[in-house]
Amino acid sequence: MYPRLYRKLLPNWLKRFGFFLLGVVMLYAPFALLTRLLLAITNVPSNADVHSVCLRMPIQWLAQPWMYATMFEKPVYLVAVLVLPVIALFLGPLFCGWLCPAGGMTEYLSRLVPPRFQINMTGKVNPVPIRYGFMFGMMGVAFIGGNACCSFCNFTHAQNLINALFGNMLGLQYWASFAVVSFILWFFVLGLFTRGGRGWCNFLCPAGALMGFAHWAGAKLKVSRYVKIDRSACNNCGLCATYCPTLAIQKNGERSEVNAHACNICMDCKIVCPSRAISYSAPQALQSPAPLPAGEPAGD
Amino acid sequence: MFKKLLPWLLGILGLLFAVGIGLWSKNLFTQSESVHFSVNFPTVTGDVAAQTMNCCDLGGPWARIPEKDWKGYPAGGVLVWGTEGAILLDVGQEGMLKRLIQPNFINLSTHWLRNVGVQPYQIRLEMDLCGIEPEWETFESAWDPATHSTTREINPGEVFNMDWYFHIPDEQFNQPVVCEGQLEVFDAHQGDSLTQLPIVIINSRAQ
Repeated sequence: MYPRLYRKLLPNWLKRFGFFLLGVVMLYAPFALLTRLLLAITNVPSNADVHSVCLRMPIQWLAQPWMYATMFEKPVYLVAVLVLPVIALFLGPLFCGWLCPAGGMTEYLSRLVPPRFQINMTGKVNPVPIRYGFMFGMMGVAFIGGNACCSFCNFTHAQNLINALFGNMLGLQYWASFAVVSFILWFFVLGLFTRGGRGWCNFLCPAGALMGFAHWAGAKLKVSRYVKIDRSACNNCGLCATYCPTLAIQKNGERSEVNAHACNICMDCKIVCPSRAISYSAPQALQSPAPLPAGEPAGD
Repeated sequence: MFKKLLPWLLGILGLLFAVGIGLWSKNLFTQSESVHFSVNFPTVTGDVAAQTMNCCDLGGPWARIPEKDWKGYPAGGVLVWGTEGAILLDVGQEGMLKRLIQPNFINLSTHWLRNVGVQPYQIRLEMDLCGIEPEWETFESAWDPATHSTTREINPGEVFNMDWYFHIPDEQFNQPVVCEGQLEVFDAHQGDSLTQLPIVIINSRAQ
């Protein structure tokens, strides 16, 4: 990480920060304006906070056909398994990169920690298989009575921190063992002390995994906009990979590739690229495993 | 070869991690720290068994039970390790982290206070925890905290949710039997008891 480029990134960070605040106002108590609207439209008598439009349980229910009726009775549950993946199919996981306060919180706070104190996983590990594995494990463990869905919920922690800012301390007063572990992992180990601050999103977020899959499928089906590198312009300096918070860009020999499974369209890579080789643009086919022609992302 | 296998190995690692924490937290969800349980009402009205829907009318997870095996609804407790119709909580089984930071602060939770009857009910709840006054918290907006009653009718098949947070005093916490209490659900209009769910808290570590 080169803090000298922070000045260049600042306008994009401020723009995205504004959207993350919008995400708080839309989805998190005490505001939860969009949630209130959805609950009113669907006639669900629930308090409006981040739990009302859960982004984790419905993904677990995908493996439980007897829960499908519940999802259609309370259509707010379809946001996680239908609305956001469909948006990701055509535009990429914009929710993750531009609206999700739980991801944005750790990403932005991680910038306050000097890079020398942070774990740097760039180019060392591909997070995609771990995230899919976690998602399938979360679905599967429910069949033997386990629960990795609610016990490891970072959205709850984010809501508790926001509640505390507004004077409701209960969420920070009561701690179960699994909540202590998940909070330390989300906020500290994979958040503040991981370069980019998105470790939890990259490895352990099932909602991100589902949207990442939809984004990859959209690119494969040639219906999605995605981040791509123009290989004729790229000088393979690797700055894009260094600044990518989601580990989506891998320097692979003489070229860099964007992994559509992991990219959250934050656009930091486009801004730091000295040769303007990166763009977020219209549908184009992904080809794999053969070497990619100029301008097409990897990931499949 | 290893390069081809690596993504699969990482995927299995992620899967095993989820399964591991899922099973670990299962024990804490069902036994000790944050016990989640279900409550079915009505199971009695006055002294007579109440008319209820059968499993297949209710749908959801119940529909998985073959009709020939259907024995009706217990008062609740399906998710916990005690017998059906009772909640058994063992604070001696808390995880190490919980024991370190706040062993006496316990959460009981039901997201499945379910009307299994054939008519709508507005309900009132009474929680007896041997003199311990819990904090009540619900996701529901239709709740009157002053009377501990719902302000909407719960239709057949619908659920209500409630969390209770409470501190157990030290002298009580260190007893083998910490508390023998109960949750009772009433018809808020008629005052009839709709079901009772015994809640027994023990400490298997107490001498």
